[in-house]
Amino acid sequence: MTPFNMGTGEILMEFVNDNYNPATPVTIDTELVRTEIIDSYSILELISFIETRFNVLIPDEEVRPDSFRTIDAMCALVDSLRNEDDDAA
Amino acid sequence: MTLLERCGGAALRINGTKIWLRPLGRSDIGTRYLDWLNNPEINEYTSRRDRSFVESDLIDYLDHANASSDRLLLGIFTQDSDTHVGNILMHVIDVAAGVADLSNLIGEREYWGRGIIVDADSQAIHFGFQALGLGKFVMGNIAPHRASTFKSTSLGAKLEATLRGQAVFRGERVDVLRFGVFADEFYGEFPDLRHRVTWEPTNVQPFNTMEDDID
Repeated sequence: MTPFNMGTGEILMEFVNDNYNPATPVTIDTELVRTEIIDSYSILELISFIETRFNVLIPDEEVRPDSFRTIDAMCALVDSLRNEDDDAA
Repeated sequence: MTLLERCGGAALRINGTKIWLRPLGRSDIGTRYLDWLNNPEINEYTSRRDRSFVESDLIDYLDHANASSDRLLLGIFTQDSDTHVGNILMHVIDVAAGVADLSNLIGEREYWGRGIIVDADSQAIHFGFQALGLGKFVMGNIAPHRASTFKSTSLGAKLEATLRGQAVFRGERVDVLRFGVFADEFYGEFPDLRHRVTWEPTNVQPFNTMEDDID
């Protein structure tokens, strides 16, 4: 089970390492798209996981490689979507 | 002149990393191909999902494409096992502007998630830009088909239009997303392809587009 105090990056790294079997464990800045750890099919699981785990909705405009290129990029995406929610509250 | 003839006819072969592409003939039509089109899971996100097909439909479709001056239908075959896993269709929708629509189908479910479709699409687009002299490719999908959205943006395509409620999916109106990609955007994602000739024969006859006149 994911520890309650894990950060966004750690949670995403754990998910990617557990589900996509990279040759070596990914780090915060491992290139995930060019190395095909993430592709157009596996992205579906990842989007679903992020939306559920972090309670955000990823808009169509963000379904692009730049948003998922690294764990760091995904953290930035999650943060920006959370901030949008905060602004709307 | 048909587009297939323009591209070298039945001898055309385009080589990718994981796949190769070639024109289809009637001998490629069979139960396997028919099963792809009648499989609800394979066609869940396509306009084919509520239709059924028989062999004569495929023959008509193939013959029409191969006789067309603006459509190029290619089969997608794996490099490792030479298995026919899907098809790709390039439809030149505006010759003067050099614009083509690209659509595809991976019919073999076990080949999903292996980078096949990006390899196939990138090779077709590269061929279109370099060999046929095209200037832009467009593609689209319904919004719930996020795998296709990611595939298009992976090719360097930008979201250009959202057609609100343009399609029905699982009983609800959904948006249709339209994407477009120019050569510079495409080669920004695939820089190694820019100067490679991945097709044979190489004496392809390009379209006379306005591309050369555009700065």
